Amino acid sequence: MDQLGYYLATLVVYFFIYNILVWGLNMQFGVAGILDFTYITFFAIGAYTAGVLTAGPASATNQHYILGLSWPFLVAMVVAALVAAVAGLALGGVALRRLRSDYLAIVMVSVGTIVFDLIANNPNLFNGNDGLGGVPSPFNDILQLDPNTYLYFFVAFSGVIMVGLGLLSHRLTSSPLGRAMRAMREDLEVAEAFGKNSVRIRLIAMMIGCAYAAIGGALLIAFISAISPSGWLPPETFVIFAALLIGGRANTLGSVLGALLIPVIFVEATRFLPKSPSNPELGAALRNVAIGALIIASLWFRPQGLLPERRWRWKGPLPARGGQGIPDA
Amino acid sequence: MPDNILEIDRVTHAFGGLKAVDGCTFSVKRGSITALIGPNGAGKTTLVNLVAGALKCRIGSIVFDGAVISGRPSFQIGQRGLIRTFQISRELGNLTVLENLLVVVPHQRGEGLLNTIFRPAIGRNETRINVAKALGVLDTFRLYGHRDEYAKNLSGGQKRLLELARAVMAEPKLLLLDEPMASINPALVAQIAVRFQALRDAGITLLMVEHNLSAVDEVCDDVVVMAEGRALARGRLAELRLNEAVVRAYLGGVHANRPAG
Repeated sequence: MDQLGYYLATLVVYFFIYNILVWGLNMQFGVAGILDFTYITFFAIGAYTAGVLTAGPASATNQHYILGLSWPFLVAMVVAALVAAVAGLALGGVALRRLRSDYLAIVMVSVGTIVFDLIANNPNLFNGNDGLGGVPSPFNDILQLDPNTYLYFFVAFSGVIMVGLGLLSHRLTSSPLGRAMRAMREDLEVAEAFGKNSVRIRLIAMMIGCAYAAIGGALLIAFISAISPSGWLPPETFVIFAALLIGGRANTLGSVLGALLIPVIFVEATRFLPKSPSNPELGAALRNVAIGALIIASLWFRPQGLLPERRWRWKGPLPARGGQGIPDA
Repeated sequence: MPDNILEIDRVTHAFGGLKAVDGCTFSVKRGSITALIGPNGAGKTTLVNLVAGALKCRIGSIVFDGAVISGRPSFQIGQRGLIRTFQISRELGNLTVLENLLVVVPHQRGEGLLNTIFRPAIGRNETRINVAKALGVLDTFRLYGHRDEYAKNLSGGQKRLLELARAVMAEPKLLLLDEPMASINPALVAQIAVRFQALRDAGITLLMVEHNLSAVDEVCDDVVVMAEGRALARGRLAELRLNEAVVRAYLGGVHANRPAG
């Protein structure tokens, strides 16, 4: 396979993974209005969980990590999603119950930082700062493909998962449950006054979003067979936010466009640009500056995003007018 | 069934040192249209917020339809069928007018997570039934033609109407209306008054904070006057006009049959 094909196929996998991540955040922030400023933490929880579940025992390597159960990937991915959902439930169960959105955001950032320090500085949990490596490629023990062919298999595999999650996301957001979530986003107090249990409904959104983040993380660690704390620094959350804001909140296709534009074309594709030898960190720093500027520009000039939320319309039959005889205002 | 749908007993609520509601006691008869009137700062809206659970009622007790609701979270009060409107319209702006009605329908099975994922037909069927009802309600409140408009784009008066339509859609037992007639044109006030009477005839009790005394005179069976956080007097408006304390506290120089303010 030529180099360009390999490069593009890699970008496609990144695109699929980011797409899943943006959909998850869309459920939390775009639809339900939860300012989850530590979204990337749930991605990491998913990646590490899937990693230690699919990897063999740590004693066979020179790393230190818990578990090492050699589970099949699909089982590990589902467990990773559940673990992240429970983590989201725990955090949301405390924070969503009592806190206004601005304080909630602060709590989220703090918790994310704590989890990050815990994982990075505890070498026995997930091999600390060195990161977890040598995670096996899903299904390749059966398939025995060469790396190039396996890449295309992984494109198809992650694509299937992405499409499935996309359909699920659409089903959720276009349902009465999705409407109740949007009501939470618009005015929590009003929704509550009409008998909506905001904690229950927002926790559902929180847990689904966390599960999506974890599935994205599981796919990533399976794809590159490693993850380290430098791969999910807290600012990464804002890359996903940028994708969501620029693509369009509460629009499933807007999330796709945002995932394609921001993390894939803007961040991942530019990682392969030649680095300045005197200052190798310059590229990453400039990217963060540019993402901040993009968020501001997007909110200023097109706050609804490139593909705005689609208006729900009743397309079924219209019943006969009620006969009140009052003309429309 | 108890005769009174709502019993407010010695309810007190202070903001800092200011007692907005101070030992307020009165009841609302089932099937009545009761007005709550009083000067600005009498504590009417605070009381509404306490009854609806938007403010936590810590002192005194509130019994709704035989159950103590004081201290309960507002969504539980809403689920019991006590529905309130807001003094300043609070439409769900980025939902359409029709969706503002659909979302408030109580006890929707389509809002369950498992039903949504595995049995989406439940939500679809519910929606079809609710849409038919909602369109009828919108028709009544002159919003039918605006059903697909974002609620944020409505005019101020239309938002007031949406507030009422939404409350009706929520299938309330008791409607708590905070100045429902404010910023609605006089011709429409009369029609809404008729609408309120129809709601009462359908078995819904209404308690409304209102300054439009001619409207109060027209539709309300019972009037409670609040002043300085307490219920000062109650009766029909005509009787209250003869009550010296009420006149001093609120009615002042306002003549009969003219809207206040």
